[in-house]
Amino acid sequence: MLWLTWRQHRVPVLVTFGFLALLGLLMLINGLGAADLPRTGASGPEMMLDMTAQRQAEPLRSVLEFLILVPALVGLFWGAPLLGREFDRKTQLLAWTQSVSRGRWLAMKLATLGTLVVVAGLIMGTMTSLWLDSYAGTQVDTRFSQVAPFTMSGIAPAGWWLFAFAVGVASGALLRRTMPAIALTLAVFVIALIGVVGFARDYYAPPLQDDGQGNADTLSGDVRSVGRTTIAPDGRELDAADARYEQASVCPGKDQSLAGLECMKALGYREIALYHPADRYWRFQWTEAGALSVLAVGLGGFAVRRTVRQRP
Amino acid sequence: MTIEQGTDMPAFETTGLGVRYRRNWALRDCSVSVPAGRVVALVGPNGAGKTTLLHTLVGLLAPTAGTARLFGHTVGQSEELLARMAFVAQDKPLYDSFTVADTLRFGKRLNLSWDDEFARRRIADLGISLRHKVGKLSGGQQAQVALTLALAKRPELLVLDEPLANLDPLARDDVMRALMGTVAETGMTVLLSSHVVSDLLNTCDWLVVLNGGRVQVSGDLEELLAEHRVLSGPAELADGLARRLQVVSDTRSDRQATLLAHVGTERLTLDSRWSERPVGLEELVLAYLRSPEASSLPRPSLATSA
Repeated sequence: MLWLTWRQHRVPVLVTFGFLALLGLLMLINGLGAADLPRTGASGPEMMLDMTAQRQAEPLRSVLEFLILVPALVGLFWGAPLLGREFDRKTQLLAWTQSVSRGRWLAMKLATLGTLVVVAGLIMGTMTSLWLDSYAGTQVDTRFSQVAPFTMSGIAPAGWWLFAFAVGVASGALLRRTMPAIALTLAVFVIALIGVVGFARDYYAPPLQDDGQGNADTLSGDVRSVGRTTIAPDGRELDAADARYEQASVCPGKDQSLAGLECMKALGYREIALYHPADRYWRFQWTEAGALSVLAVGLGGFAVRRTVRQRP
Repeated sequence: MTIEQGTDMPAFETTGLGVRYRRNWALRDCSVSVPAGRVVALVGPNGAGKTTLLHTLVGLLAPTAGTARLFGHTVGQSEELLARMAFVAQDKPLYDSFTVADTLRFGKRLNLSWDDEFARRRIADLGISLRHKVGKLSGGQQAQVALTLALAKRPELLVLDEPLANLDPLARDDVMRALMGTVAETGMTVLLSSHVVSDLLNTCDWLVVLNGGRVQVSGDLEELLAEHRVLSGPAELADGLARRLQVVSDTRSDRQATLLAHVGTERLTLDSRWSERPVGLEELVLAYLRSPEASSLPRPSLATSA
């Protein structure tokens, strides 16, 4: 089975690891170039330091924004054809009538390729983390606060790669054709990415509140900002829209201006920033990778179940 | 008229087998039992359920009702049973991107019993290079590679779905001859389907006719031919005769009636105005297919009806 898995899937596997090698090389060269950058705490105006760091990081930093879509390719080229292509060519009739039951056939393919996918994801995450390490202490290293660095560093990529792979396999099991499975995989991946990045990620833990009174130690560095909330004098929490509405009634005629805020403050309204401190990075990484892995295992189970039960 | 089976385990057997795709029954209440060592022709028009029956027997499809058994074991996805049979699906699917050598390696890696020497010798005898990509081979060569893959597994039961479709006459002959050669050597049971009856004339010794998802005929070919007769005589006497016999088809003109009937093993005593002749295989199959309500099945044995 190991040989068969390799023989059937060696092209996407080789392309993927080739791509990782290339990306690693670029990150290495770029990271070495950052070694001489002055760091925070060294002499010189900080603004200037960050400009230099950002100029050095720019070529890869902008590539990184696109690389968060790489897991989708794993879903499309590793996952969707795994079953889809067999159904396209009717070769499942050949594969499932040898002396290996189809349940074991699929389970072994999923185990082998799933392991490779996780390894590839971990390589991706480690390379990004090391690259960001070379910019430690500059504003390039925003691995917690910003979308692309967080998604690409640490162990989150392993979760995303495995999840995309499982979505592809499950789509193939469901639709029994490669092309529709590819379309479904892409759609599910994009929806999941938007859902996680846009909504879920801020709430892996309850955010801390900054009311400007003495928790500056957790406010330093790569802080992840969640939003703002306004607390009314009677203790109600108001979101931005409610706060504006209330301001119009309690401080009429002073909207949109600093005077409006001053007026509110005078009346006892407090504006509070919600944030996650930088040291929550690993907690968030584990949460994201864990949740995605659980989903992936569920999807893999669905694919096996459907393959064993369904008509060929 | 009943085929008496020996104490030998049937190679395959179905009891009340039914398969439903959503609302349509592709197979309904199929009961057949075929002794080991036979070359079985499964014939029927397109859409009769031949592929469904074959897929059920090889464990690709789970029956909705009834049971299918191979060598006495209920068919499922057990690897032990998979190892004892080989299946060549319709259109003989193979991995196009594999070389012939890869394809043989596939067979070797995925099967417990695999006769590598036989496979390599057979491919060499056919003049097919091991280094060629399967997708680049001719249809006849692909059929031979698919057959080699099945035979090298050394199965006790070989199931072939329309093995001769899409092959030119020469390739048909080659495939059939190769098949029969191995059958003679090994004594395995072969089950092959076709919608072209004449394909199977010279090679099979058991006939199963499937029509509209039901089994109409199952029996030893020679016995079936011996037990059916074509009777021609005056139309006014036909009704009387038809009452005495199991008539499969009944063609009448003003004066003349032609009956194809199952007469059994006893000698017929007929009015001298009737003439009698043996039936041809193709004629027999067509007669049954045209009258779906007629059937010729062995009486179920106690074991299968229990």
